[in-house]
Amino acid sequence: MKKYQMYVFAVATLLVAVATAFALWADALKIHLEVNTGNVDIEFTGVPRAIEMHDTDPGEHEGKDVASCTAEFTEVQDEEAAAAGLLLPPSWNPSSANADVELRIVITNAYPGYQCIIQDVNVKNVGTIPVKLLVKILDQNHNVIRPEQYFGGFLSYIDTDGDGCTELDVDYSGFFTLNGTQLHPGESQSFTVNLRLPKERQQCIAEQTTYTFYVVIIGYQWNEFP
Amino acid sequence: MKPLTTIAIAMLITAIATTAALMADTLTTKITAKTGTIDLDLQTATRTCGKVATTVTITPTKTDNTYTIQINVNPPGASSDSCTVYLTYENTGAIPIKIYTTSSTSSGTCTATPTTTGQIHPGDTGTVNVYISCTGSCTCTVTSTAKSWNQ
Repeated sequence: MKKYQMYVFAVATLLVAVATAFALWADALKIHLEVNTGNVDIEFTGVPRAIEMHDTDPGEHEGKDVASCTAEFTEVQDEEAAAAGLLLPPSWNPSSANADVELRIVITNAYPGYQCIIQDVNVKNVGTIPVKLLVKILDQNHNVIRPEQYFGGFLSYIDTDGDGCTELDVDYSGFFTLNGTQLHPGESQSFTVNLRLPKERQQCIAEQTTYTFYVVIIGYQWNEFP
Repeated sequence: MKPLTTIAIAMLITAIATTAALMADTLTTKITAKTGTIDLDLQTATRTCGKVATTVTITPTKTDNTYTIQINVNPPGASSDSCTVYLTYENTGAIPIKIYTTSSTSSGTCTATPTTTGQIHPGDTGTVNVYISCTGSCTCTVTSTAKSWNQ
């Protein structure tokens, strides 16, 4: 029995010695990874200027002052919520939710033939990584509006109230030049909004009616542009 | 579940969510266009005739921006007479208008002549003179439509 105890003690001692040797031989390297993400952020800059036009001349027909057109930067709504849904992929990450002012354009007492152009508005990349821009037009229920027709790919009629009759003419060339534009941090791109109540569609233009629609500009991280 | 396992799963979920989220930002332009109104109102309809006994009945009806006015002239004893009816319209809309007037009759003569041929600004009035000449009873139908001044 005493001999057996000696064997057990010897084996235990051997195991401890081996374990100690491994512990001495082992070492650890630690890699510290720190990832600081950038920021996608765009904003309006400039001083929006509304210019009334008739045909190709400035001002209203015969120099009258009947309608009015104003443009200003102001907080209108949660633009992220307005753009959510079908417009943006579900994996979209609103990095600066509802932090931007909107460009608000108001036309009053309008009539067929009235035209207003908004100039001196820019989109600026105030984030830290490049962005690519995409423009969409939404009706008042935030459904995407597609132009009825193009003339040379620039002019289009849109139906903002969903009655099947196109009552507004939006010159897409003014702001669709933004589509696909890549802005590096600090860069900006100007655009115009050219809106007309077409005489040729006067049957679609009701009196004492408010037509509302949205132009949404989305800045995507440049390497994930849809 | 052991705490270490819970932490590991939470870190995994966070990593997946972070990977899937694309960065984007949006700007919105809200455009509101409110249209004005085109409207006219028949304020007065007066008449003068050659004979005092001639009866003139004026019946206006309005549909949208159009007045249809039936003017019946009935000289006494089926005789002949000529009358002039003065129609005065007010621009009750919000933008300048022009009034376009036509006339027709089944017998006799009926002509409508706007004395205000130019634009009528909101709140202003314009007059249309209707000349009617007939033997016996006749009816003249005058239609006046307001349209935007720039059309």
